Amino acid sequence: MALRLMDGSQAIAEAAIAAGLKFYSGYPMSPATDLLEQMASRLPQAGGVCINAETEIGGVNMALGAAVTGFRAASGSCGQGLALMQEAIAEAALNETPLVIFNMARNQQDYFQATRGGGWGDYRTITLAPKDVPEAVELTQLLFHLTDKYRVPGILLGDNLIARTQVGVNVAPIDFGALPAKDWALDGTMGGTGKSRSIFTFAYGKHNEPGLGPTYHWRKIAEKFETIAAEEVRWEEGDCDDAEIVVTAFGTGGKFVEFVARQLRAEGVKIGWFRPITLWPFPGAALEKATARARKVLVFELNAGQMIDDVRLNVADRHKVQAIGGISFDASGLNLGPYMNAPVLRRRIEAAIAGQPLPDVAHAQGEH
Amino acid sequence: MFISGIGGQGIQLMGKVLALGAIAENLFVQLTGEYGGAMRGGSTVAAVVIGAERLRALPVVSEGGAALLMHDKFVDESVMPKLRPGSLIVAESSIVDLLPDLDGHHVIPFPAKTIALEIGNAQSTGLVLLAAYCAITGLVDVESLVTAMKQVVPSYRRQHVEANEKALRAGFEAAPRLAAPVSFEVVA
Repeated sequence: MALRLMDGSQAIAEAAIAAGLKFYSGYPMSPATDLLEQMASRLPQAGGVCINAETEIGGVNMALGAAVTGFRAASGSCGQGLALMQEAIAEAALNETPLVIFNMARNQQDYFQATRGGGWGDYRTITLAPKDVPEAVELTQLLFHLTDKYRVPGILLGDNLIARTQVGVNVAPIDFGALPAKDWALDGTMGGTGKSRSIFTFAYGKHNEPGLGPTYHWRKIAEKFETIAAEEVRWEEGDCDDAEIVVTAFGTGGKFVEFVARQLRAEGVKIGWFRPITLWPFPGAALEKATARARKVLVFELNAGQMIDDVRLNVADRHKVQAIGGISFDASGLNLGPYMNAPVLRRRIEAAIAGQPLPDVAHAQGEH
Repeated sequence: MFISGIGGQGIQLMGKVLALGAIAENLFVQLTGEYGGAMRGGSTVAAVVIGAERLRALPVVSEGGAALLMHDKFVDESVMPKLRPGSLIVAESSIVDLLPDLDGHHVIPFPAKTIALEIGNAQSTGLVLLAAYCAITGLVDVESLVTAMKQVVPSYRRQHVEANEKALRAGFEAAPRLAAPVSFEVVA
């Protein structure tokens, strides 16, 4: 197995192409620009199309239009750009169009945006958060599979470290099994062949062909998300069985937590770690089980407290839950800050275990 | 290991050549760069993690066992506090006296700049030093470095390939071969 040195943006683009991506339209915004650049150089070589759209809104809607034709399509940006895409993401959920969105975020402040969504209606967004570049390669391909399987939008939530860390990786197509035929896809034939389809959010039907009607259409959509919540939960955990302390984190943070927890475990601390891979559906039952015997459940996320809501909803005794992360940016504002560092994280875990105030580190001010 | 210098010395190029050279020898590699807004003279560090097995390294490297130093500036904050006791430091000879906190480390000064000037290309000092490090440690063979360098140099800089190759070979030849052989540590 020959490895190739690639940064995360390059590896994700290659993984998307391996999954059969044919259309990408995005708008540059650091650190998501690298992915757009990779798509621009590689997709045409792979028989696809990449468009640098005039806005994020244009980009995501072009991707939605491409997806309606049955081809695998995606858009991407970073958090701020994703905010602009919310209407189209909701629309994809409600009119049942598979659509992949890459959020190469500047920090970990997009947990709510990804898992709660900002669009209208009863919908959720499958959100996969890789811990590193090799996992991003796998989850990118899985996301295309899941969004096709359920005809839903899905988000890959990465960050600057995933976008720009270079590692030796092997990008090979992964077979996740057969998928239903896309008999709903628009195929360009109109009027006469009977193959054209009108994809319409509201299955209200017409007088001569009554549809499901609003109640039953929305119930059908809601049931689908219930199915996903039941069947597509993914997580990773270690040493939780006898753990007095369980530390949870998502994405890159999960990798740091695993690293430090293993260090402490090797030194005799009864500590375990738990990382949701699907942020939605959140692995709540698994977390409840993993934290059943824990004295404390620590949540490490570089934001003011977002995933901690899901942790509190699922840990049996919410009083055990404590935040050990916080807002932490680098001086540019485009990257994770000094909290995302093993020694810093270790000191914060140790302080929390001892019931002491969390030690801070200096953050740069006013640098540009 | 950390490669450190100031913007313009080719630190990130050295990191990339080493990473690609190691990949060519079927090793596992992670490469991260820390540098400011494209400024000459600013702090620039490449952190390269190399292993014989799949890495568990974090993308923010907080600790290492070796350093390749091209300049004394910034290292007191960017590199020295992160080195484990007994680390290997291969440094350009002319800066060794200026380096802080060398106690307890295995320091090997190497006259990379002098060699680069001898072969008529001062710009290639970094590659001379990189090749010397590889000879000293046995980490990557010079042939892999040469191949890697050719991959990295963009088409509009093709005129530098020959001089770069000369620099790599000269540095590799002049260095004390296997003076500090590399051993991969196993992290729990």
